[in-house]
Amino acid sequence: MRRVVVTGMGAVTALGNDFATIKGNIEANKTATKLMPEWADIEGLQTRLGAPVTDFEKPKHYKRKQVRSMGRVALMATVASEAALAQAGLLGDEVIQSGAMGIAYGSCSGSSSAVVEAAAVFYEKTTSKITATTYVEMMSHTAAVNVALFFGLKGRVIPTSSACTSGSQGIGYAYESIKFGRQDLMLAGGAEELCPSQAAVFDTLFATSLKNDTPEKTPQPFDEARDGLVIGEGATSLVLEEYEHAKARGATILAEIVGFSCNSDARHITQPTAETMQVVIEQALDDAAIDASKIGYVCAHGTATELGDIAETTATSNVFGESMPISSLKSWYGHTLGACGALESWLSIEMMNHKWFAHTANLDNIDERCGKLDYIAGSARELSADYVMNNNFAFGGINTSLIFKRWIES
Amino acid sequence: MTRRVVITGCGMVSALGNTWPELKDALQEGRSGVRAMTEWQDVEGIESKIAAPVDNFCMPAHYGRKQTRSMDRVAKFGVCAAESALDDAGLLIDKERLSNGRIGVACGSATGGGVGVGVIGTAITSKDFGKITPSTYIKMSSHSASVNIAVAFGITGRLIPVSSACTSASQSIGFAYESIMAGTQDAMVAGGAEELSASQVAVFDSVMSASRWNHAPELRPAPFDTSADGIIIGEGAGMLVLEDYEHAKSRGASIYAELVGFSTNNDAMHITQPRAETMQIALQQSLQQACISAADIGYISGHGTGTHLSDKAESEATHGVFGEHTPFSTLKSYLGHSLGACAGLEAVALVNMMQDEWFHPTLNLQKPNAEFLPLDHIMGQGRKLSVDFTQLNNFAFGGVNTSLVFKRA
Repeated sequence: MRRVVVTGMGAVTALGNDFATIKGNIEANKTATKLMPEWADIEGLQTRLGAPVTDFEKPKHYKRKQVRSMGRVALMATVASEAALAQAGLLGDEVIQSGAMGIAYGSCSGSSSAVVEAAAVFYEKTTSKITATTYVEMMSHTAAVNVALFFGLKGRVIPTSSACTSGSQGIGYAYESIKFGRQDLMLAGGAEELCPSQAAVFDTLFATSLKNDTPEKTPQPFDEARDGLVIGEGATSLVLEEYEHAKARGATILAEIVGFSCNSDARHITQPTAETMQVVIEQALDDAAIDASKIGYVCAHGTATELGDIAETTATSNVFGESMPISSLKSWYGHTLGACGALESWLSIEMMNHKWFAHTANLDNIDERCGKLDYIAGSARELSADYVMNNNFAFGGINTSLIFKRWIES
Repeated sequence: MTRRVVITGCGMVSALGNTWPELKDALQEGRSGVRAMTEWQDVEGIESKIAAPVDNFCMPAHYGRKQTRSMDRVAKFGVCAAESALDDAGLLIDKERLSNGRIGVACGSATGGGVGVGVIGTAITSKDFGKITPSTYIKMSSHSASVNIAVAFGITGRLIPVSSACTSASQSIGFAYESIMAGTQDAMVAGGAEELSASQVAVFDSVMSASRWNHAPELRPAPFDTSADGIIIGEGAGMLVLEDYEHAKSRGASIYAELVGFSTNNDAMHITQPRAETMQIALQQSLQQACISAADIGYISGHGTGTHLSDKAESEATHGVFGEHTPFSTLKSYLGHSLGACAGLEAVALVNMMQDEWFHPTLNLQKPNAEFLPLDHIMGQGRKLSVDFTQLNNFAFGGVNTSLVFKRA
């Protein structure tokens, strides 16, 4: 069986684009949640909170022609991918244009500005707003196609737009493509651009946080005072590579992917099911052929919605028992939707390699209805783990579980 | 050990009928699904006012309001086609098997529901979010059909949301095939769905590739013809049940065909223009995977959209692999381009044609364009052919190419 390793990682996030900066922000207790004054005049929206990336700009070396079919989501994905390829030592290497490298990438949706152009057909009965790039910008696989084009990747494109599991499915399906011999190299990840319409979808389910006066205190995954999620944005890309391929070119290996599973609740379109979540976690352990006790840390989906938190922690506790260290990065970043599965996978690997794990921000009193686990709260924790698990669960009932192994040079 | 993957169920919703006998009748009679879209007369800015809609579609009464509230038309098409495919495979009544985690769904669309897109887009413009409901996102999301299929039939295996425009269904079938082959699933419902929208036509209009033959809709599209002037948008859904051969055998399922090759790659050259060189690589790779040579293929179901650039590139790639003596036709000449659904419908037709040993012609093709490399286009009447292997090729906006190889059961 072919082994799959991670040789590059890159991101665009609200708390910095490198691990040292992000770790500094977390140690200083700085979260990404902000009051969104630009949403003040939106009728029917209760939450006014978002977690935007405030300093993102198109890099100067990107030419107009290269970016004309990119909305914000595709541009963030391209910048994250460029950083990942650079770390892997593959930027400008002709192997990535040979057909050996593909991409698996997703987002909840494409760019909102393009959705607006298309919507005019329905409500204003005019196509005048539609241009040649409208569809390419609005389509949910806009990031995958634009990144492939930008870097000349001629391998397979796997569009993994499945809402909140877009990024984790991106990594999982890329892992399988390499493991089963379809590709030697894959870019994998997810991206999302912040749009108040996303907040509105959760708003109507009473699933958004309404602590508009205290942005720094919310979201609060697992806390009894939690009142819902905050929408964020960003992009994360990983370079996945077949082990022998990486070894042959002397690449630095950052971690190994050893387990992936994906299943569906098939019960309810918006409500999670603990039972199928548990199955997906167990299947990922089976795929990795390891016992639950080997896992040293679980990176939770932890959106800070009542139903989601309870279902997830119950499933996790049933598999691992109460001494499993767990935290939610969404307490820092909000819910970055299509990006979160990749963002959380990246940071799980970084935390494992730095033997330092972020705590869940704003977790003061654990909700008794949550499963019994070792919630990392108050401050980050020094911890040595050989395996970490990242779990994600989507609207629509899609569940994913990924397992990363610490790389020890033999 | 590599597992073999067979097709045990087919289902569809199409402009020319929802069962193979109905569709075959239309194909044999040379009836087109294309008509004038009087309902688009007042849409400003569309030059192309012809399309191939599914008329008279209504959701079967056994779906209650609670079940359909998260479905736009695209999801309804997908669910109905999946129901037929599961029923055909004898799995619809086998609830226990559907929910044992070993059966999944791979399905995609170019876009989600138009009503959902309209609601979100209008809300953003007007800053009035009053019309957004919990189901708006699920309705508009590009994986709307797959999620609704999983929920409607209680399918708890993996979900592969494959939205890659015009290759959504062919990639779904391909990725489902790989999941079964690798042993991660025993069976998968795989295909694609699409609902017709004036906004899609406008997208093609904006790159000057939608047909403007408004005065004689039934004569368009005319793929590969000298007079071809662009694509016609269609809609519908086509679904297969793919299954591990041993799994199918053990439950006594009847087998349509075996899926023996799949390849997908990417042009990475231009966002909307196709490229023959990478298309040709995809065609060759699916043959390699099937461990057969080009001469073994007895029929090719082409993508054949009716646009000059795409038909030309496809001809070049196909000719490059097969020369000019392999029978070739395209279903889009009858159904228009149903985007995310097209390869699902084409696959359903293809496996049935292999069984019936009759292959439809390319409708409206009278004089193949001399600028394109020659192929053995089936024209006029269909053709009786007994073939062991067939290939289904699809190419998408965005540069994604796919090729599937089917073997007679």
